Amino acid sequence: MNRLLRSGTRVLCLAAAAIAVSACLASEASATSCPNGTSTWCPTYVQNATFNPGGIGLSDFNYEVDYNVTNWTKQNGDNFPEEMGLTLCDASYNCYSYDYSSYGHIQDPRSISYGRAKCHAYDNNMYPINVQSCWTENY
Amino acid sequence: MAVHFRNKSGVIAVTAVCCAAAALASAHALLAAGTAPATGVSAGVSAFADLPQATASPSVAATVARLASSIGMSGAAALRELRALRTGVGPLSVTLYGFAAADGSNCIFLPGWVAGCGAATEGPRGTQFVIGGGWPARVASQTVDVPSTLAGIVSDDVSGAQLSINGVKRALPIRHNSYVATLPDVPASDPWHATLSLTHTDGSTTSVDLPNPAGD
Repeated sequence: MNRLLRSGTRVLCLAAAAIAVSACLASEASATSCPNGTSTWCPTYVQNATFNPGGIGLSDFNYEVDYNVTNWTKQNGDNFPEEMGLTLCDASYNCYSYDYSSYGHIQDPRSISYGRAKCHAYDNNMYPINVQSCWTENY
Repeated sequence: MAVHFRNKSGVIAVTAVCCAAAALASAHALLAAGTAPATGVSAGVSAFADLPQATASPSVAATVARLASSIGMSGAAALRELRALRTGVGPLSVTLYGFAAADGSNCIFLPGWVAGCGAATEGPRGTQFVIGGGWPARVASQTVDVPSTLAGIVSDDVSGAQLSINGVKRALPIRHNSYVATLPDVPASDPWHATLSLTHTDGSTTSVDLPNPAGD
């Protein structure tokens, strides 16, 4: 498999409301070691961002994207039902159904032969949420 | 049955439409009354203590190892606490696993589909849940229609659960503090109004708005 291996990872980060209100384009160095020892590509494509309801983050593209993870917390305590979702999308932005959860740590173990990872704050969340990270890997 | 869940080439055609129903929770009423409700499953999940340790296949053990650190457990400790909360989930008969730390923080997962972890207080009163799976047959190269599945745990003070999707209501049996439901494949362009309703032993209720997994 001709994998796309990169020494640096450009990260496209879209932190937006249901109607896009903001976007950021950032660059970061890829991690020197990935949680899975066989991975060589594990970009954190969102880091310390505020997601309004409907906000999304998108990783760069790669082959054999196999894992997608997010860590997030609520801004207004646990009394309100906020949810976060993960999925993988192809080059045409066709995506799998979302893996959603009320948990603050979510792992999506699905894979895609070529595409990118996406994390998403549920459209009907009541308040913005703090997204510590969304990261993905291939292996 | 050996089923390969990983998709290596197919993707779903998704129409990007978001639903607009408001999220509601009885927590609001309790807050308005000045009463702070117990959130998440902080009232306790006895199944984690009552069920026997589950046997883990190598792939399940690997998943446990990946999840454990998120709630401050070692992989070995998490394996000792691994429980099979439900078996035979969905048309592919998967198992809902879970494990909990001493402080009540826990993880639940459907192998190959989805996993969630967090403190016992996370989430709406009485439950923590994941929605996973979701490889509709309309996806290129997919030969098996795997619907999205709702799976969650409830605290010991929950006596009943009901799922309503687009006006169709059904009771969700609670066994071992858990519930599961196969979700209909509703295109994102179609209406979606889904609510998980919990009844607590004190007679109060909690309602949780559920997203359409096929949303944008």
